[in-house]
Amino acid sequence: MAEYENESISPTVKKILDEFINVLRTNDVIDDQSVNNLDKLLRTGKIPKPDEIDDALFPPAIGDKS
Amino acid sequence: MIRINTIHIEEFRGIRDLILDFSGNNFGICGSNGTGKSGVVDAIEFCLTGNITRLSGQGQGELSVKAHGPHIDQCANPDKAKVTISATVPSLGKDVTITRSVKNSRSVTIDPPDLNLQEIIEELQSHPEFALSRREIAKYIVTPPSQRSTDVQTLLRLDHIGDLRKALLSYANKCKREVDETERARGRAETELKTALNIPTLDRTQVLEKANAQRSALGLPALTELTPKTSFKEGAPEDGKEVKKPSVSKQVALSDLKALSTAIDIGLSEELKAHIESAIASLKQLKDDEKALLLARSHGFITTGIDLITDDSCPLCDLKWDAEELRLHLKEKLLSSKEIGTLLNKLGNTNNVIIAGIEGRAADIRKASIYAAALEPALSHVKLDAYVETLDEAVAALKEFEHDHAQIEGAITVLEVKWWEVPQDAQMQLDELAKGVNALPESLAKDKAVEFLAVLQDRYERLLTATKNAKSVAARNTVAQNVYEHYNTVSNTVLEGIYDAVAKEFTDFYKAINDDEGMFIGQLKAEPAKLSFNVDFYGRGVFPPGAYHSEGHQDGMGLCLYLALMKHTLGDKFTFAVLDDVLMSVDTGHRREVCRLLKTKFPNTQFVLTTHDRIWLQYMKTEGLIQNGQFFGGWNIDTGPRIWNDTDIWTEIQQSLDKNDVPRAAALLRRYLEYIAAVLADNLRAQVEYRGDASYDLGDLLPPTLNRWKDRLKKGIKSAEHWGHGDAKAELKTKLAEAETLIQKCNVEQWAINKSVHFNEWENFTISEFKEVSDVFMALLEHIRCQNAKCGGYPYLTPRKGTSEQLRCNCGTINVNLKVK
Repeated sequence: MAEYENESISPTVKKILDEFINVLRTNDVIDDQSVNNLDKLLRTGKIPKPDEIDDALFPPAIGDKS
Repeated sequence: MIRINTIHIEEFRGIRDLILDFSGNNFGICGSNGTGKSGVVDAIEFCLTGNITRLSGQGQGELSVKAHGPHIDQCANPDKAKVTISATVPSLGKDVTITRSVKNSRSVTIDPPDLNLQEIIEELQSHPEFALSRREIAKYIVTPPSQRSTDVQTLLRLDHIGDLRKALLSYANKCKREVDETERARGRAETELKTALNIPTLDRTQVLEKANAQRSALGLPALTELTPKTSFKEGAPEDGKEVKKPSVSKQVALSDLKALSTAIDIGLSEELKAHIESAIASLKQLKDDEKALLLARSHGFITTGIDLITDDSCPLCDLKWDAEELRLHLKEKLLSSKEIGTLLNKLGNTNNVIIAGIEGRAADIRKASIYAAALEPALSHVKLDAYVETLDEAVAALKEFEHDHAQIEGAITVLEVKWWEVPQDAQMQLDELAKGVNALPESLAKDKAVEFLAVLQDRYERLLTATKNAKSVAARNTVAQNVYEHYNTVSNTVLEGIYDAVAKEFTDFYKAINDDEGMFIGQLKAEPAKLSFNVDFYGRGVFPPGAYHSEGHQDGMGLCLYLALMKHTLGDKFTFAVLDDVLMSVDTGHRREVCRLLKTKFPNTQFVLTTHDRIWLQYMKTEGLIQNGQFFGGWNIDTGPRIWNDTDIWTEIQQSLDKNDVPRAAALLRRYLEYIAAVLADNLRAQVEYRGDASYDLGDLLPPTLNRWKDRLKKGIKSAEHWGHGDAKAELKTKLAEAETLIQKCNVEQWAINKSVHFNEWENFTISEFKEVSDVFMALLEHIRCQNAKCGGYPYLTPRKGTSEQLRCNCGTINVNLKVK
């Protein structure tokens, strides 16, 4: 997770994201790659748009047209 | 965060040119109203953030930093209005000079230009709550819970958490809408397949039977299983090769038109009717709840209105109302946010069913329109298309409401229109179409079979695609809902933990300055979009702070909540705070405790405190909260604040003696001793003769106070003897002997016996006679005071009531056990 850290998020937000991501990792319906993508997205410190969340959770498979 | 060493203010607000030396320590600024002390607070805020809250806060629309930041005589020269702060950054161990000019308030000069220092200054800029005025205390204490939630979240920088929640909820809602949409599409595909097959339910066996009957007519082998790859027309003659492709499959078209005709005859199913009635009722309920529905907006407005009712009139229009009746009236108009959530959820489900019904009708009519166009010659279908357009618009209006709940009128209009009744002109075109299809020549059995299997194949594949799509979207929705729910749960848990921790810290702080409130507790409770704050009132229950507590107590609570929040937010980084007249209404009985709280609980925080009460400043000094202060003795427009140094009292007395001014020196000593005697009498719980007017002079206070001092030392000796602490006993005996000598030299004990020989005669003494008196009092007070230079406070007894158990100072250097059992 460290590589995604962004100074603009407060310690409280960081704490919530850490716990949130840990919980997601134990959830069977969400694969690890999606969790990693979402983690990276949320730690940018920006509020993501629905399309960005969608891209993080369901990245296009290799060969898919964008 | 930083600690300020010096500040240089030039042509800024009411100040022309002023340098203050804080030396990185706590600092007090005292002056009556209008002497310019708040200008210093503004200068600190401006230099560190580029903003001046007093000029940019609520209701200050006509004011601006650029126009009103410079001294009035330098309005045209904002470049001359500037503030320079030299500071230390403890976390980096570096010094920094920060300069900002009003001319370009967004730009700050940081010297040395170090990236780490720059980050610290940027952090301060984004966190201006280091400066708190008395007016701002109100926002933590007496504001409505909804506003408190916002303010506290801003302070704790929690707004990002709420924004993330909204983003994830928005995405989850989008996925949910897509699920509804794809499920409706799947349902329509299933209905079309059932209609083509003329079967009531989709059953594998029946599908195969129907398909095999047609295949048999073509002499094709029967299909034995139904899979996604099943081809009903496998082996059948290809279109355009052995048979002519029909424009319309008469058999299927008749089935479709019959199904449509039946649906039109039935009108509205009982189930759909119930849904429409329910939806209309819910929408009207929402509309009637503050008409302003515009949902949350007006909901919040009424909630705020209820909070603002303080007397018997409407807070908005001043119309006379009984306060309680007005509250009830507004509450009746108000649906709680939870109820709104339930209602909207129910509406969402109901609307989904209704949309499915309308989309189904639109699909049927669209199909009829296609048949009409495909006949030879083609039939007119303009009216059918117009009907489809109306139905599409109805669906769009309902979907629009799902996106934006303020679009309530459009949804109600749609639901009140009898969309299921086919317009007469469209019905005529349907009748024409039915005639046209019926008039089609009957195909040969083989041709009919080929047509049927082609349509079956098409509708089966569409159902497979719709089902696959629905499953995929449902899976995405499951993920989206999981993500949102997990975030919600985790963030709520973390926030509850934060609020609990802050409330506990607040309670501890408040109890430290109000030991008369015994079992006091404070509670912070987060609810959707609001943060309730309730406090105990003498064990009689918990209430909002403004309910029963005095203004002074509320100020104390505001300070304690602020400190608890800052401690939680910044932790070790809470190294600097400006408290502008914050403690003004704290009553004298609690001021020392406030000083002790700041000094003991925040030893690493530099406080800059302003007050217009000189006694308050004395308390701060006596308690060792501040080492230095600055008096602002007046102000004029040309020169700014007139300042004079708060030099040590003994130096000031000596200066008077140097000027041969014994009366002034005597007055200074007497005033100071009156003040310090009151402090010591309180600290040591001296037995002073009670006066109803609380007017005690030095002769009333000092003898019993010094007697008490000796008595407590004796008590300490007894205790040390009891516990076998020989060293402590010897030390206390020396201290007692020293006390007796000094008190005797002061002649204080004589005051009670011989009233003609007391302090009132000091002003008639010669310089040397008075100097002797002054020196011995100085020695006596130094004897009592803590010798630790960092503390320097006067000792006090704990607990404050009942049997005293300990004589101690803030730092613990003086620590005399008084217990003997």
